[in-house]
Amino acid sequence: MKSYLGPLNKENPILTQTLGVCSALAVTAQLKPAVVMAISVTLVCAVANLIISLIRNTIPPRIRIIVQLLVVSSLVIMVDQLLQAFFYDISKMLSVFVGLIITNCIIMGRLEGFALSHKPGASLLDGLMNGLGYGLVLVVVAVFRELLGSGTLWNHQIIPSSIYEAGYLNNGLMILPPMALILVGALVWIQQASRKNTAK
Amino acid sequence: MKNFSNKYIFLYITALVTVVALMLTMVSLGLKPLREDNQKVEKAQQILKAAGYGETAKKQALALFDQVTTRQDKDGQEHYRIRCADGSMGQVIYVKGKGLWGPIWGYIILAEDNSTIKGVVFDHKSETPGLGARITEETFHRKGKNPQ
Repeated sequence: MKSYLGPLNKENPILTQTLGVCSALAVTAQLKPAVVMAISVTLVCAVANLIISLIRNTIPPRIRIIVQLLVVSSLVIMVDQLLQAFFYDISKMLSVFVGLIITNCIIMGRLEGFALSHKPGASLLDGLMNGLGYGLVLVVVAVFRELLGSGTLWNHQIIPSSIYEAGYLNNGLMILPPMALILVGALVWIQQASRKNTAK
Repeated sequence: MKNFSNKYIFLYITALVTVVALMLTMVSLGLKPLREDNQKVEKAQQILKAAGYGETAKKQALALFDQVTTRQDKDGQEHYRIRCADGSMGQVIYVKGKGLWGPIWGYIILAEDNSTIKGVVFDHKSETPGLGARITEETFHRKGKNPQ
């Protein structure tokens, strides 16, 4: 069980394996799209892992990447269609990044590295945990960016108007992509430092 | 490692693609009415924004759109006249074209004198965030308004 929890901490796909960084920078200016993106990636990663694991013994090795891409892309198209039907505003916010889940290295990495050689139950859990590990970083970065960049969380005003009247200003840099990179870098630094301390 | 014949590989991938295509078609057709409703609301919101009403809530957009517009189709094409937020009348011109990665479109509100642009709104399907996707930003829309 402990090894499955790795993606939430020591084996985090973004912080340790530096995978899926592109979308982590792009969709974290606000908490809402970050949470939706996290849920979408988690669902795609878990279900794709499960499907590939279920059919793993029937997949010819020569076309395994094509089969993996076919499964992932069809799941992503379904997620995109569902978002357009039920969460249209968020689907506009996420724009091309939903489609780019197909190229998210975390998903292909887990299919190739885990689902092809493990049983369905274990693969489902692995996909779920890796998706959640990715989502956790997205949510942490988005909370900082939305709170300090716009003074809101989930579009609700958090920083009271009295603070603004006293001269406080939102940090415009927070909602720009470079700040997302700096925040992810800071999280990597914190995580690496804590690992070294644990090792000592 | 198990050996798979070319025939098996061909049949396997054909069956898989067929199953996936059928599933995607069912999902797409099943959700089409909901997607079209959302697109209708979005169109109303964009035209109202170009006419100076600002951002309108999803629930109010269609009602306000029906209230301030009159449909006068020309040559089988949808055509609207609109009462702008400042009280003046204008016509809605729909424009569309090719973006880098997909279609781009917009609504231009032309004043009654046919020479003043009262407002514009542009949108896109899949342009690059930070580059082409910036045509949806207010700063870009302001450039098209009331040219000298």
